[in-house]
Amino acid sequence: MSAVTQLEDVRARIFDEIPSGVVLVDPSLTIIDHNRAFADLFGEARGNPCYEATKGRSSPCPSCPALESFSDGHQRVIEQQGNDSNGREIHYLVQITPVMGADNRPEYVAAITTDLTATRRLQREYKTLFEQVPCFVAVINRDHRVVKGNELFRKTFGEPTGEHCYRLYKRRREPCQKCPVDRTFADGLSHASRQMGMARDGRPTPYLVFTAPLLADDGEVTHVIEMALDMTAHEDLEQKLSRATVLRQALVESSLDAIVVFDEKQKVLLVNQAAEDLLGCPLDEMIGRPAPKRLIPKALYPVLKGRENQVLLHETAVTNFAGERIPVRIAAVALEVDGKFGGAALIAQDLRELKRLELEKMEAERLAAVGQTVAGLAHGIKNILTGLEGGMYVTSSGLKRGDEGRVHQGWEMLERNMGRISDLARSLLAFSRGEALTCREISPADVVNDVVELYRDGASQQGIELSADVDDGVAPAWMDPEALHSCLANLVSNAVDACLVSGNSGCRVEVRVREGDGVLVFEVVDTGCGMDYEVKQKAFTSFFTTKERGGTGLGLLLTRKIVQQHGGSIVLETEQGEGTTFRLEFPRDRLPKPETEEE
Amino acid sequence: MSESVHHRAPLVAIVDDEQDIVTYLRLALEDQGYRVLTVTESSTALERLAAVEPDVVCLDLLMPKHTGVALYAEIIRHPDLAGCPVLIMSGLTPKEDLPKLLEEAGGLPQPACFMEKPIRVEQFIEALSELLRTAEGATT
Repeated sequence: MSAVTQLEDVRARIFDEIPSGVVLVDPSLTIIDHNRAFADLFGEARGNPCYEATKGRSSPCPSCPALESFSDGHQRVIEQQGNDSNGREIHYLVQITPVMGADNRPEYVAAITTDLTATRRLQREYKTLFEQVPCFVAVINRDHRVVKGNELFRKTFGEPTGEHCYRLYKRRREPCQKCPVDRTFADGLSHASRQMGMARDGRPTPYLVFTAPLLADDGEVTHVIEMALDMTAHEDLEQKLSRATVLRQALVESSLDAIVVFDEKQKVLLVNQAAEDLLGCPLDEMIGRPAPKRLIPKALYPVLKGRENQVLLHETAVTNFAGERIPVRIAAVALEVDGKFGGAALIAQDLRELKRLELEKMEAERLAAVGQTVAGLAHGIKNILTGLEGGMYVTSSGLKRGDEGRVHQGWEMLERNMGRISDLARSLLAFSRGEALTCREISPADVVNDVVELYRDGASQQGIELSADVDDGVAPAWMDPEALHSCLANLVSNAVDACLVSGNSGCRVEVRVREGDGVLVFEVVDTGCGMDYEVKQKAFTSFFTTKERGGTGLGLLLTRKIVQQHGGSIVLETEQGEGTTFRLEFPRDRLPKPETEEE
Repeated sequence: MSESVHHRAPLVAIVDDEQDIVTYLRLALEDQGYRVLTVTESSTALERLAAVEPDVVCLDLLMPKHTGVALYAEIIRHPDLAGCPVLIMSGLTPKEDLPKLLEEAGGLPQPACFMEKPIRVEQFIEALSELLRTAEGATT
């Protein structure tokens, strides 16, 4: 191959390798030749008219730049829009250069096309970004005038007709002291700052402002692009959050309940003042350390170790740092952090005051009972005194008349009423002695069965059916068995009497024991005579008796006293002619507790 | 009231479940020449009183079964016993307990006379004769 042919071959290869599309067109606009890049864009088009190849037209374009260059012999550069070989819309830059013939007139024109489609798409995307970004974007010149604003800016401040930025954002008449735009103009760098503006309604509006330089080809900052983010909602939220945090802190701090928060390793994270008071240890000595085991009832550890979610102990005791046992109601709650066990909170209510009030209440009830006792005592004594008065009258009138029979009758009356005075004094002594309970763990059902066993035959002989109804599920209880026995025995004895008085045949007395909602319940139910209003009112009054064959009138009072000593109460339901139910209710958490009991 | 009735001794009914008190008051009244009806069983008391229409009823307030207050209410409402004065005798105090009891029983009127136990014979006889005098004055 000759050197000339070799050069031609290199030229042809370069022509094909040029990354821009190159096409050669004759005066009839027929494509004489093109390179590979052109074919890649518009397909093989040699011999076809250029308007057909690049734009899918059947006739030349209205102002064809190629024809113009054929006509005037000048180069020209224009931006064109057409369709590629797949029909896709494309943008390209065309540089048209006439190729002169021998007559110095253009024989062909060469068109070099550069594909601008990607650039145009990017431009559109930037424009969309500029317009749609959810903050104010403005282009500002050295004179602080806004020359361009995005959609949000225009919507809020109107079309930027060269207004000053400080007037729009801050309603000021002169530039700001510390202008971020000035700063970027001065050093050519981006800056961020917080600015306080003013809305049209005069409301102060906080902005987070970013400024960035827009540079000319020579590197000079011609404009600054400023982005301003309205922080009102954000700051409101921040304020609310901070307020909520402060309130929550105050709530924990001022809570009357002791609150201790542990991390997942049972180390103390947070302690409030009530906890410090309850436990008797300075807060700063507890933080970051595991709490001493004696402070935490065993039953709460499963929560502290994340094995259970919640445990509530209605009544228990903790030993504080001074070694004092403190009655508390305590709850442990597991805390979840990011969906995992993150620790636990203990909330403890100091029951010392409550216990004191309970004791005071029981004392007040006891005093009220004493008051009733005294009133009843006076009433009982008055009746006996009348009997004695009568005995004296009958004796002395018998003596005056020499009537030995009457003297004898009067003497008997005196003796009888003296005896009543003695009985009364003994009963009163028994009642007022206030014996302490001797408690141990007993089976409530056993006591009921014992009482029924004791009275069944006697009742049966008088035509009364006495039976026990015992719920097997009743757990043992810490009570005084003898005291409970005498309560039930007294109520059964009353019930049997009520049946006898009623005169009805086939009367029944039932003694029941059951448990529900943490309350141990005994009932003595009879189908006897029942009580009218007056008797019911006086039932718990001492020395009030309806028993014709005597009775100290202290039985129910003693029963009530014993029930109260066990933290319980008596309910009386009665219907005259229908029968009576005495119900003894003992809440388990108020029953006496063994001295050494540990939770 | 007819002339013949005036010559008969007044009939006093005593209603109390305490046998000794009944004996005491019966003897004391009979010693003064009164006729006496004694009732210790309160459930049949109203029937017996209505049958004899006594000149005065002496009633104990706190009795078993048929309590005194209920009986008092029945006596003052009974057509045959209307106008028969009732003397209530009780260990209750007249100023505090009695008004409360009457109020609780539905607002019963005060009895014609109230005697607080223990009862001394002289005061009892005096109160009774005063009561009878007043009752007689009211009917003549």
